[in-house]
Amino acid sequence: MAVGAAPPTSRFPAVSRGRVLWTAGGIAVLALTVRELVAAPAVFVTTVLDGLTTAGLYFLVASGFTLIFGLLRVTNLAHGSFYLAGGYVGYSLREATGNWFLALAGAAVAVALLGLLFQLTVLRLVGGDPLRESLVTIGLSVVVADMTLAVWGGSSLDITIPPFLGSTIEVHGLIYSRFRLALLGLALLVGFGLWVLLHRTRLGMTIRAGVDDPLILATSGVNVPLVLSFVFGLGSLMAGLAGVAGGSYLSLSQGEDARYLLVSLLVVIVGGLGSVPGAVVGSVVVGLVQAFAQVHLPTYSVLVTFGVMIVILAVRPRGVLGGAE
Amino acid sequence: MASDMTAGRGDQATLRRPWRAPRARTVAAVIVVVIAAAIPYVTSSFVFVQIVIQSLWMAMVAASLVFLVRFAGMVSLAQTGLYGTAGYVTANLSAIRGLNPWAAAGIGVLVAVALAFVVGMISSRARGVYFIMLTLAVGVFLYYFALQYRPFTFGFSGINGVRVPDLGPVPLSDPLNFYWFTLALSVAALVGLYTFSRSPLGLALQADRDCPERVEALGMSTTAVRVIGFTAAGAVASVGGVLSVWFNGQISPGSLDITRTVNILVVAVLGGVIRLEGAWLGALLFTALTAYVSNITNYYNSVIGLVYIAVVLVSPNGVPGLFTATARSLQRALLSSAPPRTTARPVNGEK
Amino acid sequence: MNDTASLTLRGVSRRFGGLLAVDGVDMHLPRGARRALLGPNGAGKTTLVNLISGALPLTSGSITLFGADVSREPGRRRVRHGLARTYQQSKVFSGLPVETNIELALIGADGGLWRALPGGRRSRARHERACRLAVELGLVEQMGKPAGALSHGGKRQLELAMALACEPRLLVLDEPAAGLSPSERQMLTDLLLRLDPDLTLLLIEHDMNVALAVTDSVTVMADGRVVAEGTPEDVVSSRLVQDLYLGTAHG
Repeated sequence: MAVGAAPPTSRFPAVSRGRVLWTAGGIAVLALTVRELVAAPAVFVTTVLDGLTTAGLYFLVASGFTLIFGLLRVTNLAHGSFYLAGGYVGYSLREATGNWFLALAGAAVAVALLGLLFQLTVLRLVGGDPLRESLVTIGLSVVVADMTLAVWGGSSLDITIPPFLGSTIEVHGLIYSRFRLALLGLALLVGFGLWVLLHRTRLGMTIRAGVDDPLILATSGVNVPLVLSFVFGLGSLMAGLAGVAGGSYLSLSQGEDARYLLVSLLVVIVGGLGSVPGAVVGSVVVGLVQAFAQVHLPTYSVLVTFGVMIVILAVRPRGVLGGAE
Repeated sequence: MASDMTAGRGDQATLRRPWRAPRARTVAAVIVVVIAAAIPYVTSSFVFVQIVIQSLWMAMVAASLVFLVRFAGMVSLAQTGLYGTAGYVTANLSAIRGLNPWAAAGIGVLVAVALAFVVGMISSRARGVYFIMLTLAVGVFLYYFALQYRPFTFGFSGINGVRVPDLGPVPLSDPLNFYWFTLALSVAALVGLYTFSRSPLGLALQADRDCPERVEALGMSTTAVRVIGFTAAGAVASVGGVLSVWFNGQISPGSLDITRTVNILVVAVLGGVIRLEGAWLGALLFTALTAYVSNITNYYNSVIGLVYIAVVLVSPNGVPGLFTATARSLQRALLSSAPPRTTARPVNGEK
Repeated sequence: MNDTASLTLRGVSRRFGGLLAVDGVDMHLPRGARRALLGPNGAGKTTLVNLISGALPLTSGSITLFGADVSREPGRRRVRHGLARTYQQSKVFSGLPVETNIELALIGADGGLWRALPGGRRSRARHERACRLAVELGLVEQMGKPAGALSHGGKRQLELAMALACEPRLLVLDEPAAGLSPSERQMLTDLLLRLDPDLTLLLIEHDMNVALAVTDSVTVMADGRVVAEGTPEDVVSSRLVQDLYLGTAHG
């Protein structure tokens, strides 16, 4: 994936100011990296790994969000609720069957069905007005939050991770959690799967064409409503998947829906709306910033992440990979 | 410009702006005043405090949102965050630092307005769903700020024991006095927002909603217009925040979480985002609905969410729109053969 | 201030990615000039207008308006120099009444929002001026209606009213006759002929009847460059221009 083409050369200050800021930002990041590496290399490597595994989880959540936006132009503000619902269903399946992978698959399918049901019944009724569609999804988030509270209660729950992933791994004296690495692997696998789907299948080509220009989709002869529903279901499926992964990695509780909605928003705001490569960049940026913030400013990590987002927005209103306005 | 200016000079009558039924408006205003004056004496204290007064401060926040949606085309989900900011600053300064409550409230509003200015600057280039996402991110961020920045916000439990000050010799802790005070501020907010919308700046804001390029081509800065509009709305929301802290005596992260954001949206949508007065109607409907539904079921949030979805789906103009639509179809059914005498009426002319 | 030049372009260029949409355009419009800008679709005429009005930033070159270098000024500042424009696709404030649209143009012309602020109230005089302009441009029947409800021709008239409200010294019109009926075209031609002789006009127009009736000089563009300039008679009879309009575009 090519990082956004450089803006056309210009003698005018509007663009060069952006350049200066980018360079300054790059130097700052580099300087901090060097400092960290010199001060405590082991901590640095662990923090980077933490950042990347967090990024993996964030990618799982946000790629579904950005995929749905890209094709349907719906900002699914219930995406965080889909994450939470996936986690809770996964928890129950894990408790009932004892099989983590079954829980993962089952929860993903359950949330995909929930998303499909919502898309087919409610979103289709709104039809076409992105503003009203977004407003409707926020209503759904309230209902899901209330229902999950009723079924699973208010206390926090952990999904038990499979025993063979429960231990740690040691390389060159570095100790790291196997499960976190597996999570990163899962994210890479899903990312690869998405890439194959979008770039190597006919359906994927259609979807990508539709993201670029909705008119193409309408004139390409495919069953448009079917493709839209498929993408909404797929995006929801990813949220459910992420819910189980996140619920095993951290824990599940009320309020996590808002957290992961914020994560999705940050990732797409940083990376640019509607693009899967953008979601990769956004997740890595948000994940790393948050990991380092957690080491240095543990109480205010969310605030630091947000500050970085504001700086990026000030320089590039459409995100790092977003096109120029 | 030397083109012929005399062409339209004679016809003054056509130049005058259309004058819409002043008597109907006066009658409506009188009815509203009478109802407002009678409410404290005809309602039970539960209804008066939990429904009527509560709806008044909620309506302030919702009115700021309706203003933004209607006149600026900005669906801001940061209004709850702004009202929470004003609330937190007021609560902290008066209950923790022992500052004069009026000064605390003033500073609270100022801080929130300054924040609105900053948020307006950040989001001034974003439109449509981008604007929704940015302001929602700001709103959720402020929620986490309240949760995490313990030295100021005291984390999960929030700040308790905020006292309602006296207005000169009048103690506002008396619900009746608080009611009149809040009502007066509501009217001031309503008049202020309408005045703004009709001023040159307000016109430019509406123009920016319709065609920002043209606004720039006419020599006006869309950024300035949007930031000022957003800040003005933020001022109204933050006054609502101060009132809410005084009403509840406390503030916690729960006061500005996503459920509250949705509640404000529900109020705005119920009232219809066409007229600012709708916010007060929507707030009254919302608080009444919450009070009664929570008596019947524990799942009142679900019920509210579903009602909200239904209103968005069925009636873009909210509950008033629903009534006018019903009234019109009834009228049509009754007078199907008669000539349509009153069909020229505007959709929301009944208020 | 240079008394003779309204608009001077020197080496004005604009690049979109790999495409050089406007390529080193030089143009000089003396005060009171009536210039038609012709050329096939995609010649870069509208892009050039957007560069002049500041809707797009320049890639290189310079623009001088009435002696002031405005190359780096945003569009809204160029209005202060007396520039007003219309758009190829009507851009009106569809949710606001017709006369309020014009009133906003007057607010902009009076020095923008900041001058309009004191008291924050709308001046009655300005409102009446807006109404007079509406009457003058044949919009009297439409007053009170939201601009979005106007017909295509009505929107074009409104655009023109908004541009004239700014009392411009340089008026740039992007295909004002497009989509108008023959009688509306005649009205437009009459209106343009009645303009203040001091006003400079730059007109993009495909309708030669309108364009040649109201202008005294012509610039022809193709592929982003100026390929011919002269009096209407010279240019229209030239072989090159006929080729261009027949589609055998000059590389």
